[in-house]
Amino acid sequence: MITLGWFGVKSAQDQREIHKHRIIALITQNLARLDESISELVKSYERKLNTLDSMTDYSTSALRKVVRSIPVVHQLLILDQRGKRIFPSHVSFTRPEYEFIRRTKPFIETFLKGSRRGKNERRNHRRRKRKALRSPQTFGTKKSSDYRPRPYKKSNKRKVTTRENGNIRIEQHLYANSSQENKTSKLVRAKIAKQKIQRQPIRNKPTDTESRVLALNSSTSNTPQLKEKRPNAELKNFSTSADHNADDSPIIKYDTPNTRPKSATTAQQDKSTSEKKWIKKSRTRFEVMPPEHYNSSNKPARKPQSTIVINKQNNSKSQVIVANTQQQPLRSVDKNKEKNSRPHNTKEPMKRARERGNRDVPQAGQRNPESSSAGLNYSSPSPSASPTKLHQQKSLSHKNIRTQKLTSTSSVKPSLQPQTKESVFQDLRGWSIGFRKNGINLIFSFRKSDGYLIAAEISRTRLIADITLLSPISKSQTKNITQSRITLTNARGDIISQWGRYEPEKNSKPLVSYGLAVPLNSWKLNYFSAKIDLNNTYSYAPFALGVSAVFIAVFGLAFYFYRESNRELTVASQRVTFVNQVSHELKTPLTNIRMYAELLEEDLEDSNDRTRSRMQVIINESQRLSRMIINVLNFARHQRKQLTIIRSKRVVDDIIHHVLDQLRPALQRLNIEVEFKANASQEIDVDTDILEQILHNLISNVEKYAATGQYLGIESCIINDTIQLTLSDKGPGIPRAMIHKIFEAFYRGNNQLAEGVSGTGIGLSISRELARLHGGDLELVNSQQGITFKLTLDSKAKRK
Amino acid sequence: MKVLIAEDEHNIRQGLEDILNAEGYETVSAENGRIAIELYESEKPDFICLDIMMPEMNGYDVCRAIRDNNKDIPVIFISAKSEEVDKVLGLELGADDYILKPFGVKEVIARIRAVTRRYLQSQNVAIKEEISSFKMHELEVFPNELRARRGEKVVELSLRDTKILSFLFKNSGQAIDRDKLFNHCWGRNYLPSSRTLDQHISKLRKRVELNVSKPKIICTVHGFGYRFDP
Repeated sequence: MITLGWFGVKSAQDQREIHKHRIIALITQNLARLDESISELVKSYERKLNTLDSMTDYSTSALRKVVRSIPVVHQLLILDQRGKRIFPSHVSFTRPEYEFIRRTKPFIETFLKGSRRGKNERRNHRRRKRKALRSPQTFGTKKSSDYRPRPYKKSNKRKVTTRENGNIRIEQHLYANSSQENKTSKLVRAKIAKQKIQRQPIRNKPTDTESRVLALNSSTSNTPQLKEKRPNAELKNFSTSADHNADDSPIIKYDTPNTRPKSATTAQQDKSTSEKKWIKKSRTRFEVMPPEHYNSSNKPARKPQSTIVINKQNNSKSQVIVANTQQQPLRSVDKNKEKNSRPHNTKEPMKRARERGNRDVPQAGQRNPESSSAGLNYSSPSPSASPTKLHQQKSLSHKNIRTQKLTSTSSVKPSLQPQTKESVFQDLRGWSIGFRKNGINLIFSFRKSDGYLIAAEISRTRLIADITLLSPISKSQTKNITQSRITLTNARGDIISQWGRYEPEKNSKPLVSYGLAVPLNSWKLNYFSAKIDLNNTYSYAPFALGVSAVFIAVFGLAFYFYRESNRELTVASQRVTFVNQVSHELKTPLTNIRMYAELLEEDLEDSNDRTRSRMQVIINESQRLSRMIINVLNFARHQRKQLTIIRSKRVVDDIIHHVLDQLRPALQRLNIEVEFKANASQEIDVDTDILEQILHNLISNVEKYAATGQYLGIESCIINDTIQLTLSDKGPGIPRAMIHKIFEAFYRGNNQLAEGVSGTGIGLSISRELARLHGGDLELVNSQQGITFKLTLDSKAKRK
Repeated sequence: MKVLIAEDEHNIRQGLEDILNAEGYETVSAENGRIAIELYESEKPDFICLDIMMPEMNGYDVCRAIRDNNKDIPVIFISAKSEEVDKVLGLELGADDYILKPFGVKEVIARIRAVTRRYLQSQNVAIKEEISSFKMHELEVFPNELRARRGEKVVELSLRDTKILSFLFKNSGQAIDRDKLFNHCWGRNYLPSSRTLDQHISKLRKRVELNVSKPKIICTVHGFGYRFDP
């Protein structure tokens, strides 16, 4: 049986394995579908945000309106071509805007590499450029290694860039814009090629390492991250400051990586200064910076770039590109004209641009306002809208090479730095993921065709709400809703959203986990199920199951039999209870009948025999009825094991006389001669009721079955505190085969014998039980004629 | 002797009263336990028969209350509750006997006589004036045992029988007026009926006389009463 069970369980286990894989595949499919719909949602956000492309009005109020009109957008950031912030404005910003700036500073920084550096770096930068101008021979090689070593390296990283700055991490997933290929240089193309290779894993699913990194970093929330950084002396200060004053930290963090590392004391000072103070600081800094910023980028390009423009103007198509991509040369051209007129107000260019855009440029949004200010009239469409990409790409690459050649041949050293930088910016459009406090901070950024960088921070609540609205469970699975739960957790494991009514236990492992696609690749979908538990160890499970199956079978059988027997017992006890109650209820009327019959009989002293005999019948039958009731009750009580013996000092012979007196009328009627040899005249402990009942049963048996013998012999004696009674008759006796059966309950001799004789069939049975209860026994003794019973009753209480 | 009968079933109560009266007891009967207690206090019975299942107050409680007052008074339970538990409980409360329903008249009489005998013997001191035994020709009467003996043969006597025999013995040789005998043996409250006395005397003669047709112990004085001739 065990082996059978084992084999059964084994095969079941195999099937279970298959089933398990199927289930996991199904769940994974389900989760993948959900992931798809989430990425679809993100794409729809992208589409919405792409409409900002057509935006022309950069006034603060208009932009605020825009922010309000797009519910997906939480905050908007607009930087102009040079990385100067246009919105939120430096001059007036609301509290949320201000907070937004603070938290996006690291983000901005990643876009302004090189253009917004520390004072020293800028100075060095200028020096290097001057050097380069002085020694043109070294330009070709030196440029790439000295000036621009970073962009090349970074370009690889930029795809997935992670920057840690205090508790803010930024990760960028940028991909080439569809329009960027128009102006791809070799460099850019190489970049795109690399991107393409890497895009595959990104789109489908973040690679293990990526996701793991994400999970690790974010799971160790703010404080652990900071702890890790402690050894780093440079960052230590900032981390402490972050610890102490969370509000101040973003600014400090932002500033420091580009400036020289501050000493601990300065950091402390920074921290100790009030908020207002640093707001002031930053304000002044921003006010000062724009002119510097412009100057820094313009100065080196000032002298030579007119030649490039001129060169490029040879080709109308390339002009557009150059105009769009390389603003600095253009600006340098303008500069001569506008140098004096340009105010240091940051709003000015925007205003002018707006004016011009309204006045004479129908597609101003797609154009560089600077270019139009340069007096160049570009009627051709913007590169982003260009339809002939491939063709252009090829031609462009040639042209770029040509321009390079031109520049080199003309011995003019153009600043390639802004060129490559901006091309990188412009090419890439996509998501930056910031980690801020406990949540994810998604920023979608792209550079407009007019060179303005637009970064939109996605409203986190909106995103979560939209995701929650997605129903991950198809209609066919609605039944399973109650048994399953899908949770969306962030990298820390906090639940962002959940579907399904099943409540998984705390710390229970999900059945299947599925990482979301970029940009939400730090989030995970987890599937919990109540029904399916696949974590059973395969090795001993079948054996355990087999054994348990056998056990269950055995216990099941045992339980079945137990219940069966129990049921019988219950039924029997119910029957007994019923009989008990019925007999009890019969007693009161019977008492009256019997008592009044007997009283009446006494009153009939003088009446004739006929009346008396009729009266006697009533009395005898009522007596018999009461004996039967007592018999039944005793039997019932015996079944419930409630019979007890109550001994009292009595003379046994008296009891026998009493019984004989009671039964004499019937015996006389049947002409049964009673011979009583009384030898038990002394008092002895005996239960009168039991003795009477046994005698009644035995004597009435003689009446019923042995009347033909016409003899009843009773002999009593007491030996060693034991009452011994012998009752014999001269009836037909009992066939030998039946002797052992007569003491069984409900057995009534053979049919011939029992025919026409009333009785319940429990008399001898209950008599023997009562005798045994009384410490004695009732036995059948061999006799020559009829039946002889031997009754022994112990006077001493020694119950079995 | 006065007997208190507490029984809620009217017919059984009536029957018991008849049986006990016929035996020579005075009876007071109560239909529930509370009345039984009241009657016990007012009537001061010598003997108590209690049913167990009674309204207002059950037999056990009545027995307990009475036993708190009087340790010697005989109590007999007459109940349909045939469970051993009930019997044991009844006997442990101090009952002298426990009679199960349905009972035979003779059984009740026998048990009541047995209890009376024990009571009378224990009360021997109280009724000391009475002679423990007397002889009426061959019959020796033991009034406290409610028995008479003729040689080997034991004759069971009722309380009334002993009263009659002892009354006749006390006035031996004198003719006793029927009313006088009746009043002495049946009590004044008992409704006189000539047949009752005659019937009883004839029954008694059957048991005590050797030859009923020629009675020696209870001789008839025609038109007047009875007489014992020593």
